[in-house]
Amino acid sequence: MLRYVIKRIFFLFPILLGMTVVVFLMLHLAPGDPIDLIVGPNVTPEIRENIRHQYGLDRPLPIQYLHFLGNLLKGDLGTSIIQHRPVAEIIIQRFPVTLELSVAGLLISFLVAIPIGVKAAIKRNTLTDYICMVTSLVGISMPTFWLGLMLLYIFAYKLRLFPVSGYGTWKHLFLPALTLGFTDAALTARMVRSSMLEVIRQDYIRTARSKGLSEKLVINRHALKNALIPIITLLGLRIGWIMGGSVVLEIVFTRPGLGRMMIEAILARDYPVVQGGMVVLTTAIILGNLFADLLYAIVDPRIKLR
Amino acid sequence: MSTPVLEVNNLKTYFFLGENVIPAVDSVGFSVNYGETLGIVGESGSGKSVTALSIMRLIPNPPGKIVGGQILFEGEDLLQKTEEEMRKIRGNKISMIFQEPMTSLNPVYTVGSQIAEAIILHQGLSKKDALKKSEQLLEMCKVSLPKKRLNQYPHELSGGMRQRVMIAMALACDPLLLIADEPTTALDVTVQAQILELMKDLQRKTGTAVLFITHDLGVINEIADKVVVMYCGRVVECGKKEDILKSPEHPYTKGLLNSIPVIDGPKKPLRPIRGVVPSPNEISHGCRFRSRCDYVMDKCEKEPPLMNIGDRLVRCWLVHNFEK
Ligand SMILES: Nc1ncnc2c1ncn2[C@@H]1O[C@H](COP(=O)(O)OP(=O)(O)OP(=O)(O)O)[C@@H](O)[C@H]1O
Ligand SMILES: [Mg+2]
Repeated sequence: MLRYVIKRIFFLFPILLGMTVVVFLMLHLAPGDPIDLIVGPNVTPEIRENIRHQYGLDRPLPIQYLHFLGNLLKGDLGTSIIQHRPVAEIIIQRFPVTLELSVAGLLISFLVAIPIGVKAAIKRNTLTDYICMVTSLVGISMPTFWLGLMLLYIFAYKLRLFPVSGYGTWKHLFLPALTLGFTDAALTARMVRSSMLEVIRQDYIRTARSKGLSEKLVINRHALKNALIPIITLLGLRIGWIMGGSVVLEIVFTRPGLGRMMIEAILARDYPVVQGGMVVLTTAIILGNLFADLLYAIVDPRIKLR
Repeated sequence: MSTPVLEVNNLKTYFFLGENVIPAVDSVGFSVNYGETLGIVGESGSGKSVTALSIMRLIPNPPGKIVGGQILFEGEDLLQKTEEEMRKIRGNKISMIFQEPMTSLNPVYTVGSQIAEAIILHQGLSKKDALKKSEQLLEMCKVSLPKKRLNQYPHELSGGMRQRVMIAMALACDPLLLIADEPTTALDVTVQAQILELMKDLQRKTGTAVLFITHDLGVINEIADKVVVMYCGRVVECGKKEDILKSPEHPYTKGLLNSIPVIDGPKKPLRPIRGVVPSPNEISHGCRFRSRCDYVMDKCEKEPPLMNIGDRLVRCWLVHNFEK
């Protein structure tokens, strides 16, 4: 187990390094001169070259990359062109807002999806099953932002049960987390159902019954843990999806998170902020994947051998 | 004579698949005395497993359903019991071992916790005491390094070892009846012999009655006191092991015996039974074996009843004249 963990953490480094290369190149090879973004087109060539030198943009690309990487390791993500503040400082303010929503969304998703998926599997081909599966189909087909807007309209604007925008209390978190959780739960519930259907035909479930265990124990103790293994495997893939979803919902619910920050920075051509935001978001997704893999190793003892 | 530990009368377990009704077990009856081993033999699809699962009341429903008969365990009909009452019997007074040791243990729990589970459930021991008992059970089942095994997962053990774990699990609560559904079929011959030896040994020690299901007459010869021969959901012959193996009466039993090789003794050509087991909807009337029988006659259009000759039961018109 420990060896597996160490191996996984070791592999993290090349992945993170590759990610910085991609983020760096994406912005530096994009068409357009970054100097235009900083000073606008109507300045003399001398000033332009001056600024180019000041930002180190006249040096060869590999040197620029190493410079970027070196700063990154020191925790320096550059300075915002618009806000004239360190990018790291801005991100430290914004990131918890996004993280909070992603975690809350994922929790709601699992709390809703697992019981529903299990119930549907046990009662397969009954009315309960059909209702669960049709509801989840609706959930899958519904765009996240649209559901967010609807909930916002009904519960915040019409019924005034929740604030329309902002950040801070659980009331601000509730509607966006529900939106994110519901759309994700729709997919997860289907996966739990099919995984559960596969597991309850297995021989060891018959063994569990033959010991005299109650149906509840057979399902909750013997079947569920096995059924969750594929769900956890896919959790890694879905963490990116969840983060993306919460970025979109920050726009709908006017939350001051990373997503909003990125949109504002892109519109204002504040490219150090865009770069820093991308580094942090992708790192979060990579770490999320690591977390999912470790969780997988805890649940499935067979993984330790590989 | 004392009452048998298990008496099955006229058991009918059918599977309902849309329009088709499959009589997987059709009017099956036999009895097992305390401490005795009854072997059930028959080809694939003859209804052996369904019989075993019916006794445990673990037939998957739908599509299966026990539609008639009696299963008397210590004189009480299991078919009249509630699910709650059945749970107190399963794993406690009647336990079962399955054919596939590779897939019959839960991959995500340790061997120890899977054995201890039934002990905690039925005997109310603490987890610690139950694990201690599990260790003793593993030792009794000749598992090497029992203490270490407790914390291992099924994938870390070989097939033979897993079957020993299954046996330990089944014997955890000192059952009166152990149902073993082809426990050695999936194993190597040498491991098979070891497991059989272990089961015989344990039975001597514990006095548990065993219902041993197999399609291997060699295994029957090793372990059984009495034999039930099943074909297409019916009992075709039933009696003492020696009688049945030495002088089979039913053409199907004869066929089974002729289709296994003899290593010592005079060589004789193998004569497998011709044809294949008919699918259940092909048999509408008459003797179910007649399409493959060498002695088929006009009378076989009508199904023979189980007839008593000596202390044996045979379902064949050939023995009709000798009856009583
Ligand atoms: N779950 C099921 N659904 C439908 N039919 C079934 C089911 N289980 C068993 N049957 C029917 O019951 C018949 C007898 O099956 P059973 O498993 O008892 O055979 P068996 O004698 O144990 O054979 P084997 O030696 O292959 O284990 C099968 O031919 C099949 O038609
Ligand atoms: Mg079988």
